[in-house]
Amino acid sequence: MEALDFGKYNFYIWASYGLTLMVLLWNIIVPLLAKNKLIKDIKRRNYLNSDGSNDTNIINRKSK
Amino acid sequence: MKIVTNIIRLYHQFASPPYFYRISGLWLPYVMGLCGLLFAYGLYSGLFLAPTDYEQGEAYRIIFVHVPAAWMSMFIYMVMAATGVVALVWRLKLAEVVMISCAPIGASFTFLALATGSIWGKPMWNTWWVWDARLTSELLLLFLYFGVMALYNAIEDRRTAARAVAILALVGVVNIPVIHYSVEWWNTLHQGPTVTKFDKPSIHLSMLIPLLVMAVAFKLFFISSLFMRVRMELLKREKNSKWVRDLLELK
Repeated sequence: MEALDFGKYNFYIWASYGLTLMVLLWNIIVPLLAKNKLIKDIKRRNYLNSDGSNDTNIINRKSK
Repeated sequence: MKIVTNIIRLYHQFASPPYFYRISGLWLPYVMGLCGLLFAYGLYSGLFLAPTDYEQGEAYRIIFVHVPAAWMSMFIYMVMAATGVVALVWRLKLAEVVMISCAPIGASFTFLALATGSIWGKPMWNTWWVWDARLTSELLLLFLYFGVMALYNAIEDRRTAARAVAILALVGVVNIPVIHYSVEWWNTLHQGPTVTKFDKPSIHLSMLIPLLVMAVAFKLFFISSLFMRVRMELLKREKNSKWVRDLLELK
């Protein structure tokens, strides 16, 4: 690992590359989580309305 | 004339949400795979193979993430503005979705360019920040991206919101040449362009190759992330349509 030792610039270089990694991961994880949540929401709404009604108000339906 | 009608037909087919959803899903793994390979080679050649700079020592290696991030911050803005024109003129739903999906990705790369630049500035200029033209106009770009996202979320109707956002994105284009030429028009601590100028690039091949490899890797990464966001947004907008119901196997 001697080749990856940048002497007095170690902190600056690794901070830059670490930040880059974080930004790249953020750009992958955020849309993935959002998509999973969206699909779950669509499926749940479909299940609640499986009697054919258009009622999307969950609280009202549960109290019936 | 047959060719023209065929092209128009292809164009409309490609722009239809179910078709784009399917095709982008097929492409995504290949784009991501190639992107990963290029990142691996870019990092290897940038951190191992490239020699130490005679003036800046090892610190210059920040260039391999800083410059691609800064290029992407401007490139993504241009994609956003171009799709904004398509959204305004042809009211294409896919263009609206691409436009708004660009904003968070562009903002993240602008942030990265600013942050890595700041980290590079500390050992080289002995300061984290100066209020010069290059840094200030890049910061303005970040605020433009934030403005686009805030405006989109402030308007209830998605189509009206998209039109308003397209206009804001177009007005903001004026900032792009200012960023690019700022180091030539004004005195600054920031170094001048080393690659994008008309005569020979003033950077050695052993440093230019990792830089360009990283730039292509960043571009492919943007395409991957954009596809992921666009697919999500299409599902959201079309959740009551038949193709989404079929896709999720709902009755």
